[in-house]
Amino acid sequence: MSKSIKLESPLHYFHAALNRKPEPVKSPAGALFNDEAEYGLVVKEATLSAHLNLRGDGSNAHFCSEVTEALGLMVPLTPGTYQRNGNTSIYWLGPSEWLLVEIGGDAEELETRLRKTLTGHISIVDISGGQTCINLRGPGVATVLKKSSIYDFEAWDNATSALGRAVQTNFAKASAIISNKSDGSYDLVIRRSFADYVAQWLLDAGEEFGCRIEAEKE
Amino acid sequence: MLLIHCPHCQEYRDEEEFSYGGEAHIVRPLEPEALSDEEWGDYLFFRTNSRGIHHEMWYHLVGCRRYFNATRNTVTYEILETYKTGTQPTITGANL
Ligand SMILES: [Zn+2]
Repeated sequence: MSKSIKLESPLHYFHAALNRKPEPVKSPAGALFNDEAEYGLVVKEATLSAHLNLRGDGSNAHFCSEVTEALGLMVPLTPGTYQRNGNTSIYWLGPSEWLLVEIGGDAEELETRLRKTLTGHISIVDISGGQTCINLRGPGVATVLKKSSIYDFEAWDNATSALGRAVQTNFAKASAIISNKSDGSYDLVIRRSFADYVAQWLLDAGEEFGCRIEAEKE
Repeated sequence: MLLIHCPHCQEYRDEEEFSYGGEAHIVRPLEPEALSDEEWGDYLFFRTNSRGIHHEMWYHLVGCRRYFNATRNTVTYEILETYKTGTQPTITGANL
């Protein structure tokens, strides 16, 4: 993609509207209202990250070792799981399909690196422009997930820094890839065309806990 | 609301994630040009409409986006098993 094209996050207008510094309001205890502890749900977008859809044969040891060579990551073969190495995560989407997300990454560089290493019958599609990744944290998150999706997230084991659970399911009548993180927060990969709707849904669902959308760099 | 076991995701998921794909195990004729119009019409348009055991395709639309097969009792709506495309059901009308 040409660097001369100005890329804009699908949540651009939310950032613009919500990231003005709130007026400090003194609570009786003297704490600032905009202290993070006051918010039950904080939504933070990993703006303009690299998203690649990867297809290949997971039962082929050659394919798996080549992916590991290119990314330093194991291909998750267990349904409903992901593997993470630093800012790079690879999510199981189906028996021959994975989503690769590098937070803040360069999709072109990532794709080139994979194409140099992977051989055989594979497919790599750059879908960075079609979706975005948001993180939900705070004490209200479990309830917001329950309100938004029928999936039972409480049945999941806790994530570690290297692996966790991930699921594609309905979220607020749209779809999302939802995964847990070792810090207790959740990552959602949502489609660009639904990003505005999902953000409005989250503001509404999180209102009872206090909800804010945080810019990547504040 | 049905809970349907996806053989790819290997867990029970809510019915709203799936869509119905019609009767399973319909084999495409190897030589369509050798068929009569009636035989070709049967292949394209006619289904068994079973009362009781029925093998059918389901699509995990919001999940793994894969087709699989299910054996369902069309009287009670009970899904007796699900299995991957390309494999055979263990429950059939004959052995129930
Ligand atoms: Zn599935």
